[in-house]
Amino acid sequence: MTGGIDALYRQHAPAVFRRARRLLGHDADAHEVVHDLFLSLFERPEQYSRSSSMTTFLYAATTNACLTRLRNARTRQRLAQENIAAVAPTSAVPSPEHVALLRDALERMPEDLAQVVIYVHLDELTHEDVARILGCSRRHVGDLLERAATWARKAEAAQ
Amino acid sequence: MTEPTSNPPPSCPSDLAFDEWLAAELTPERAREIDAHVRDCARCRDRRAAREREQAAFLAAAPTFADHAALVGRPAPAPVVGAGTRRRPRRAAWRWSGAAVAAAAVAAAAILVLRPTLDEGGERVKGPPHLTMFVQHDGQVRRGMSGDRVQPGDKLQFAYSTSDARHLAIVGRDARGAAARYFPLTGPTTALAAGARVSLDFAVQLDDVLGREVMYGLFCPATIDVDAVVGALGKTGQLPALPRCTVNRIVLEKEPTR
Repeated sequence: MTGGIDALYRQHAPAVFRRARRLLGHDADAHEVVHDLFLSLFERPEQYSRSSSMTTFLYAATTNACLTRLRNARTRQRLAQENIAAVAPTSAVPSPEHVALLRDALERMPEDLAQVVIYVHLDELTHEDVARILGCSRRHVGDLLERAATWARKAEAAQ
Repeated sequence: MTEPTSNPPPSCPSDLAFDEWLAAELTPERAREIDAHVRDCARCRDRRAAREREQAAFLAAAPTFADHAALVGRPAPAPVVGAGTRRRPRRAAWRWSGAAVAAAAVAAAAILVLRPTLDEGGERVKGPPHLTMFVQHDGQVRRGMSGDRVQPGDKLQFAYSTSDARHLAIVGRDARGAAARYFPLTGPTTALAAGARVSLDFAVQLDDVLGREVMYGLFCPATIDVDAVVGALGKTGQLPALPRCTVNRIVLEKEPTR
């Protein structure tokens, strides 16, 4: 990993940046995620176990890093001021329910539920892809989505 | 919970599969499936084009991890800029032949003719001082990147970018552990003026030593003893301490001629 950090960066950093920017809606934050993630890989290459593709590993690492940032109070405050417009997928106009669910997922949902919502509703991945990223079964992905929907309904009813 | 209507058609690969395909991480069978799909799917051809545009824009702003670190105002990790630090010292036996150096002038002329738009007067220098590399292969010139695969006989030319006057030396170490200086060819370094992608008036032709070759652009505030740097690099595999210098590392993987 050490000798190939630049090659790794060149191959994968643009995709990490693309996803981080989509999740965070902010270029500077996305660049910081890229930096932190590749620096971490440089310093602790053993965290990539090679049991999956590097792309799969980076999808998970990027999601976790972005969720951490989104739960940071300062980031949340700034994104709220900017109306977090970029949180929604750019390829289509999502329903208001969809956007509400995403916001909940990104800010308050339990992390395991937030991750699966991001993969399915933001990245538009298949359940099979999500299962690969999370290292679980497709059935478990479906269960997580059901729990996320229940959580969102309860959160909406409580408001 | 229903799937959003914006999901790609079931026949199109997901973003994850698409990214794995672009990173050449899929099995040959799965890669062939996506190859065939993309040939026939306008949507996926557009996806690929969009990815390529995004990648080019991102890497234009920060071609290396060290450049990116500068972009976000963070220090680059030391081993990235102090290249070769984990290499086992090997016998120094520089293989860059006199004939290759002699051919450099010819190569330089050819590359300069083929690359008429290199110098971009007035362009703002982004990030730390750095080199831009061009590779001439089979008569075609392309912009080279760290990590590129090259072949014996390919010719390299460099341009530098710096926002303030710097002394520049370019040195390298090949897969056998032999180190050499490329710029300046002889004598001490001299200060180069600030500028963006300023051509260096020399070129090098790659010899037949296969494997990883690492080149270093050393941007320093004062003159440096290039021979001493090369001696240390060849002897230990590490650059010596270069206080206040910015080191730009370019890795080349030299493969057999196809």
